[in-house]
Amino acid sequence: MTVALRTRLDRGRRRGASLWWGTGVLSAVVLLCVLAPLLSPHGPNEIVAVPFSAPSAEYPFGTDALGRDVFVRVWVGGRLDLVIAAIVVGVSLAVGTVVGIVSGATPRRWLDALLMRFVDALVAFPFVILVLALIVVVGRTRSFWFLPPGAPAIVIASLLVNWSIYARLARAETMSLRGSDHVAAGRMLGYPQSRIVGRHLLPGVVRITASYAVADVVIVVIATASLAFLGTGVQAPTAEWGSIMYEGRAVLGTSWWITTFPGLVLAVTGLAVTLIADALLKVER
Amino acid sequence: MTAILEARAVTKRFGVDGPPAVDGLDLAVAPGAGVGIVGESGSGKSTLARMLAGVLPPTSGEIAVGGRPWTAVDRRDQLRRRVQMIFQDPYGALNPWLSARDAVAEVIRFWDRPTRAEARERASQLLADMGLTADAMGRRPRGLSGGQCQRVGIARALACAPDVLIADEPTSALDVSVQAQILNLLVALREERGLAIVLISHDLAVVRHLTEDAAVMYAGRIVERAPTHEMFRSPAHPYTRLLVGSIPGMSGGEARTAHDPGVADHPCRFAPRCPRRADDCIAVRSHDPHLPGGRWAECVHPHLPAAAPVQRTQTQHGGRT
Repeated sequence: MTVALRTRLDRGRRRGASLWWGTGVLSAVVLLCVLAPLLSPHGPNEIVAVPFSAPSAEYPFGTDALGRDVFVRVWVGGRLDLVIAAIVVGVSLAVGTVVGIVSGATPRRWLDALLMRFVDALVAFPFVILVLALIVVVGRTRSFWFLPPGAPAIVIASLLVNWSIYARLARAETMSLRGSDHVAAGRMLGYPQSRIVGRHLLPGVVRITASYAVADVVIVVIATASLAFLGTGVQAPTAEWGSIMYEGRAVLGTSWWITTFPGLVLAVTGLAVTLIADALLKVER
Repeated sequence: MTAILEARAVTKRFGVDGPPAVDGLDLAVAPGAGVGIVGESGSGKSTLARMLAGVLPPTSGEIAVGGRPWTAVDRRDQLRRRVQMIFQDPYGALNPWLSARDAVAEVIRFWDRPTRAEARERASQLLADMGLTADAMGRRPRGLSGGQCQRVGIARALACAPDVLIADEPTSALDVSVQAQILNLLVALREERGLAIVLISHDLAVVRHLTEDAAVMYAGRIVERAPTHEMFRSPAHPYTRLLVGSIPGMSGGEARTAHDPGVADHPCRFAPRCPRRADDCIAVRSHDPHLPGGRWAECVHPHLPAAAPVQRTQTQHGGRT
């Protein structure tokens, strides 16, 4: 076996390994988010024991300042974090890709300029101030459908800023594909613009934006948790990784488990998603 | 003889005030004709090819297909099918997300609207005619060799049932052994389907193999036109002579070190490199390029087949319209 072939196989095996580890760990986190609260005899806001009990067999992550089970709160909170991330990333991916491809493929220069200046304006706007402004507008206690108070403002604010990154990525990729011979061939074969965009540009553009979307899940989860940690996110008593950590920060020295466990789960989830994103991006090249 | 594809005084400029890539060029392609266009890199060959195929609009001048300018041909117009092109980069010309069969079937479905199964059937047949194995038809460009990709590109062009096939350096990205296969395929297509072909190449041997008429391009202009065999036998333009002389195994040319194409103030673009440059070779554009013996070259001091001293015609009006 040649050296080149062997390194290629090794690289393939490593890539496979990181993909398996990533999906394995992420599935475990999702599974726990879904199942742990169902299997637990009590709810996330129920006072079950003495406040600040250290981790034990009955309460693996200990209890918080009110005597609630941190283990249950972490997994119930995870549901919210992952749902917010899924909504924000999903909508951003769809909207950003469409706007970017339109901007990059349109023969009308003014339309491209208009869309991109709009994106520039959004990106230039400070994110935290935008969230604060939205919370004033939407209301701290406004809930929407299954989203608890505070969450709708986060979703709207994240979406407003987030889709623009996809739009820029999609536009750049569209511009580069547009000059390629297979798009020229499409024009030569008489295909209408809609078919060229849909069949000859979109698959390549989605490849780029979808790869980014996987990595973006981590960014959105961390942003959501950070906002709660700053006190502007999901409102108490709703459990969410950032809000649990926020509540535990004052007693970090004595009751370390309240902040440490949600932080650990957040970090592990982020790592798993990054591993997946990494493996997927390598497959593309 | 009515030309099926005709370029009239076509100019293409990239950027606002760059030198023109193609400069006031005329070319006519008759049905079933084989026209070779030769020139070195940067002479504007590929730009011309794209304009002829209607994918690049000229800055000025007009390209007409079946008598109608490209600008008046709608995308869905049946005229659109009649001129097709095969590209220099066989991979890049194919949609990377479609299999060979799907790429060809897409064209058939688009133009002829048969059922999905029938389109697939016809695509498979066409690809098989081009020498692609059934196994390769299901693969995407990434899984195909350069030669296979070029066969797919040719099949896709033929799926339109064109009258003219423009081949822009169809073999320059391929291995030598595969080059011959693709060229033989093009020869067979001309014989079987009566296709006119515009072959664009820097490789004189390829042009000689496939065409009856040849034109030599230099810095965006055609500097010599002649029947292919005659051009090779006795090149009239000093630049043609230089090109012919640079083929290994060909004799009769004057080998000379090539400099960068100097587009100086000199009216003749080739003058800075020309071994025959003289003080009076000015104003080529007002000079009649028709030479005795039915030859055509934009040169004041051409090489003529007869050993006689240069008899240049003294007409002062422009030779081109």
